[in-house]
Amino acid sequence: MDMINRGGVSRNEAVSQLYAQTEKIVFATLSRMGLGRMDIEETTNDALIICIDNICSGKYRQDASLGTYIVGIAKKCALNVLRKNKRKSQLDTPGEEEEMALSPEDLLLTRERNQDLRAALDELGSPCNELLLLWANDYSYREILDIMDYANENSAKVQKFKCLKRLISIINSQQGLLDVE
Amino acid sequence: METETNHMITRYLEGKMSPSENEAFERRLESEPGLLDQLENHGLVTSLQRRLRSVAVENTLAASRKKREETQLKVVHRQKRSRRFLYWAVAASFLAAAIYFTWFDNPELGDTIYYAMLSELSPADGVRSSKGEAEFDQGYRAYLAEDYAESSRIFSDLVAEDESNLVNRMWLGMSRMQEKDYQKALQSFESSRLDEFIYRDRVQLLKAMSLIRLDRDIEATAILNQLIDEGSDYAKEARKLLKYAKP
Repeated sequence: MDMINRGGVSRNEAVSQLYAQTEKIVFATLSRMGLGRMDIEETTNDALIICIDNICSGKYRQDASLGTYIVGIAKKCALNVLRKNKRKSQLDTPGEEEEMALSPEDLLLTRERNQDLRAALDELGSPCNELLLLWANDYSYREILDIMDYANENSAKVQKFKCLKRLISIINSQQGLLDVE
Repeated sequence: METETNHMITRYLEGKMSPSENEAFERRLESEPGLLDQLENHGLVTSLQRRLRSVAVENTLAASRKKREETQLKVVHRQKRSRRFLYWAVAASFLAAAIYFTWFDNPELGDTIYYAMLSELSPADGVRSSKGEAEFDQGYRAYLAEDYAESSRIFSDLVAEDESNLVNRMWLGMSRMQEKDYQKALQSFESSRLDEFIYRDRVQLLKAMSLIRLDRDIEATAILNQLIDEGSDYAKEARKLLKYAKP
């Protein structure tokens, strides 16, 4: 948890560990729900992304262990996939779908949206996309200066906003999907 | 004022400023840390940060998965290498065993096998000599009665009378072989006319047996290989006997 909140390299390590620790149980759960291998891999990804986001934004209240929490999110993601694949018949109980559906906020983080963002980042190119991803992953400006070539923290910050502005322009020109929360 | 700044930030981020306005705003950013903080907390910025973070986490997960797959692949390769090594080891063991038994494991031509082979090579019908039939019969009967000293004496007399009689020489040689006098047996088999003799291959085998017993394995091997190469009727026996000749 601390490592995730700390951001930067610590978060990357924590994410890798979390993935290694929960992969098997999530895989088994999603298999029982009738998901195929590809769907399982993508759903596991989605679940971990949402989990990290919830920890960073303080939504995770530690009512359950992190493993149980991830499995719960994975189930919700799986229900979305099953709904999309029109495989409702495989749901255990009819009421479960409504109870476990993902919030619109969580849906914002699904891979379809990420794909759009990824395409925009590709168009943005280097070093802007690298800078933005480091910032988004909560690398400190000191860490960013170690990795990238900027004169000082302030100039890195200003550069980041210039990059962000270009990214918004690309997204708007592509799809006009950007919404302010 | 705050709303005005917020509005300005939104216009900046959405690219709605004129180039001169934009330039002026970015100059302010470099000199006003407060403005940078406001920009940092703007809804559009925090929203984008959250979505970009999910991309960053996705990248980390992809890297972790790739690393794990590479590790698993290495394990699989290692297992395959071990299995391949095992196969080679087993194959090499078989090969080594085959070489050993073919080339190095030359058992002794022990008495049991020796006499069995000698018995096999003894003509069943006696192979009559054209001369001195009465004496030949005595020698032959002595041989069958396992009185090899007597058979040796009789056949020796017959050979002394006619050295060119190869049948008598053959029986003399076999009698001496039974007496374990291999050197003399060899002398009995030697003849310049051996190649014309109808029982030449049989005699060659008997010579090879005597040579092996005298530890003259190289000469024995040459004779046996010749019989095999020629496709002799006794090639099978020659191969069998070859096992006892040390290389």
